[in-house]
Amino acid sequence: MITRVESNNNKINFCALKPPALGNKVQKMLTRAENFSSVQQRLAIGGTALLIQPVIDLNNKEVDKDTRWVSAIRSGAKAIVGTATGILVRGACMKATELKLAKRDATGKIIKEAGKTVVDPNKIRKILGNSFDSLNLSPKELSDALNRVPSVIGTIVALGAMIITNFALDAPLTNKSAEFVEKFANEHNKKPGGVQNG
Amino acid sequence: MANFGQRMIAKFANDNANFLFITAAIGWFLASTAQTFGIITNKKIDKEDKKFLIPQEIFDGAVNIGLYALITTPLINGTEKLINNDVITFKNVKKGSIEFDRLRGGAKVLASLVGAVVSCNVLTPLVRNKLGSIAQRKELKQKVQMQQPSYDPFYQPFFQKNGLKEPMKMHDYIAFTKQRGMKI
Repeated sequence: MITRVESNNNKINFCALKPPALGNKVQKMLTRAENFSSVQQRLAIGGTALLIQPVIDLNNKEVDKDTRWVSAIRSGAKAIVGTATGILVRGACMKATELKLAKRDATGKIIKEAGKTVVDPNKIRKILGNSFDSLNLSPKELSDALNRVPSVIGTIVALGAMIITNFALDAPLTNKSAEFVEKFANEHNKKPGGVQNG
Repeated sequence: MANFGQRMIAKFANDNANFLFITAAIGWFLASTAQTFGIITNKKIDKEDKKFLIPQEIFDGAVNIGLYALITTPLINGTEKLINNDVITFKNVKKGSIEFDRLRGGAKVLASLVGAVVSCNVLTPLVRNKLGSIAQRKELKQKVQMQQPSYDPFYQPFFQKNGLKEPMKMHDYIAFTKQRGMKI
């Protein structure tokens, strides 16, 4: 519910349309979202791309039916392959960085808190120097930021790796899967320009 | 003293929404380049389909990043402003507290995700399909123009059928002028 707020001088301030305060459930979701990594981001965008993009391509009246079909299949294949390889590469790079920066005990075993790997601030300081000092963060904010460092470094490394994997994996896999789906659809007379129309 | 790269990593670790925004844009650029390369080198895709798919892929990348920036940036900034100006508030959380900063950060990340889904999964396919089909049409038009035989006054006078590769004879010309009622 949107409530209208009146200012002190009894004039209605139309800019001050104030929605109700967000409750615990939304707050929980936002707290979780704050620590979203690029893996979760890729998954959310890729998943919705798979649902929406082929439908848009199939309804593209600007091109003939055959092109429409090829385009829709490619969009679907691209969403699946792109999301899968994107998650795989990002996930692997982030995990590797996390293991590298993890806090370890005297025996070399990784220390975990509540099932999560704890990062070693000394290792991060070794890599990043005093770069956090200028940000003037509170101890809690600093702890949050330090925990996100493996995700940041892992994502940057993954972007570098993706220059290779995009060409070596994404593009050929998209082509192969699109060919496969198109062939399958043709065999079952589902392609609009196929046997049904021919 | 920390160098530029170190400072950027620290800044990104503290501002997750902006970090995800920038890395997504770079990721799309790389992916689009690779996909275009994949279509160009794929011999199994029909030439006519390629004429649509190659520009579609290039437009996809360009439009994707452009629209993403155009929609997501104001969404992230707008969300932050709404929270800072107390339009969006949180129950039992004081402004300025660490919890408040966390929730604001989370809201910015969600705003960037919404912006990405709307711009890249809805608007980009619509715009790129339109632009791709314009490019395809232009390509086909050029092809048709190239296929049309050029005018040759000796072998192919304008009143002869295309493809007739015989030198014009006098009786053809007279027959033509009579047929159309042309006076010499």
